[in-house]
Amino acid sequence: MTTRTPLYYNGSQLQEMKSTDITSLQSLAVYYYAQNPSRTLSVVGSGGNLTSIDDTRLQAGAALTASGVYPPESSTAEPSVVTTSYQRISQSAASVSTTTDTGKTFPVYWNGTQVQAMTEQDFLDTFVYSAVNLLASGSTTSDQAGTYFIATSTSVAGATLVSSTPVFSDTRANTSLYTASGIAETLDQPQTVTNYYLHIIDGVLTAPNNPPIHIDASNNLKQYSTAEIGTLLAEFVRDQVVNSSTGYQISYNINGGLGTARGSAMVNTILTGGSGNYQTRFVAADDYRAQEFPDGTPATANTYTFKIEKS
Amino acid sequence: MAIFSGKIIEAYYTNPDNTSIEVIYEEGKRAINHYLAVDTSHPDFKDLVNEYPLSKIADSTVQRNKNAMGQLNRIVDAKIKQKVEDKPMQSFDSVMEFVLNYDPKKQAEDMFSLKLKIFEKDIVKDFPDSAVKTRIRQAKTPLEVLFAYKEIIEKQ
Repeated sequence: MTTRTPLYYNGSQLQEMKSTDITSLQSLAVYYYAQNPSRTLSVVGSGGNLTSIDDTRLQAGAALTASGVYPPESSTAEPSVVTTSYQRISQSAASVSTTTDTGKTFPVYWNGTQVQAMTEQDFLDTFVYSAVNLLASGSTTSDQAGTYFIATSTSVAGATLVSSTPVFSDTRANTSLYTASGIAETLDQPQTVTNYYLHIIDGVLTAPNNPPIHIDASNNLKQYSTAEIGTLLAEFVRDQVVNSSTGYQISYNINGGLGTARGSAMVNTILTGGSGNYQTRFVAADDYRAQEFPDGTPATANTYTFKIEKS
Repeated sequence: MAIFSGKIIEAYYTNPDNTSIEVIYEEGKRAINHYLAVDTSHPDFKDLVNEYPLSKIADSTVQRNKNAMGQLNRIVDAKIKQKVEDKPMQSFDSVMEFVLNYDPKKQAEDMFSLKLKIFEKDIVKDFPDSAVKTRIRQAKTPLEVLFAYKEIIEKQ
């Protein structure tokens, strides 16, 4: 890996960039990538291609009726588990190709004896790989613009909600809705505890103080405009994100073995520790009813972690 | 900077092995929850412990567990109380109250159960005098039921 120190024009002469100048160009690459990401996620109703995740909750056992006496607790059905599967995130990759190096495509640097244009590999080593590393971080700042995270809120500063459809909903039995006077109660009476939403991080444009220089068609040295260098950087970041064979592809997974957590983990809670809340209802001498309602205390059954992976 | 930075209301462990944390943070007038794994290399976790140290997370967890235990105890107490109220014949005092101060508005169901129990006895089933059985059926108080039952026992 060969990183170069690009040159910039300081108003009177060419000068080598400081590391902060290079970092600002990497952030610029992220901003322009975010304008048109190559690895995208969408929220679908069902049948997404990321791992399916389950929400579980308790529902009441079926009611029993007897004549003269209440059906005993030993005969009423215990509360059972209702499972809802969510597979609402769909991942796709754009088809990307890059500009061919003409020998004057990339910024120039001082090789010790003369000014020279970077090769494509120099450009990747100096800017693009570092930009991809920024994108794949576990943070959710503007340096990760164009990548995704999970939040329990529909509104997060510095990010855009991908869809108002939650990618996962944690539900539990709403025990307050089950009453003895309502036996036979509807078996499944849930409440939503937490919804989880997909967001994409917004880019923040900060024009570089010291833009790099390139060799133009007439073999003159010319300063890149912010848009020119930003577009060139983003083109190669987009390509690496979906086509890299050297460990710079980005993808997303849920509970995968690799990757870094992004945003809130998604937690499936369920009532546990209960034995069924046995309740009875006297309707008439030949209609004694009993039913077991969900009970217990909330506990975490599963934790699903949405991850960004660089591979 | 994590999504919750500068806005944390509370953070606590959510599982017994302390590998997961729920952070409650303020967003405008709303309290939002955010779950993260205990991962000392993750930037969000670093931001959390910088603002809300591990000792404070442990203290919050203990306090929250105490509150939950208190809530659980109140639920259990309420359930026991409800069961006693729903099935008042479970204590000696309540049985005596039923026999000596029978209230047809509140205890008709228990009266029905008493008659049912009496009729389930073989001695009553096999008793040939239907007039005494009718008295049991038509009894208006537990004492009337028991007197008729006593008559059957004595005649047998």
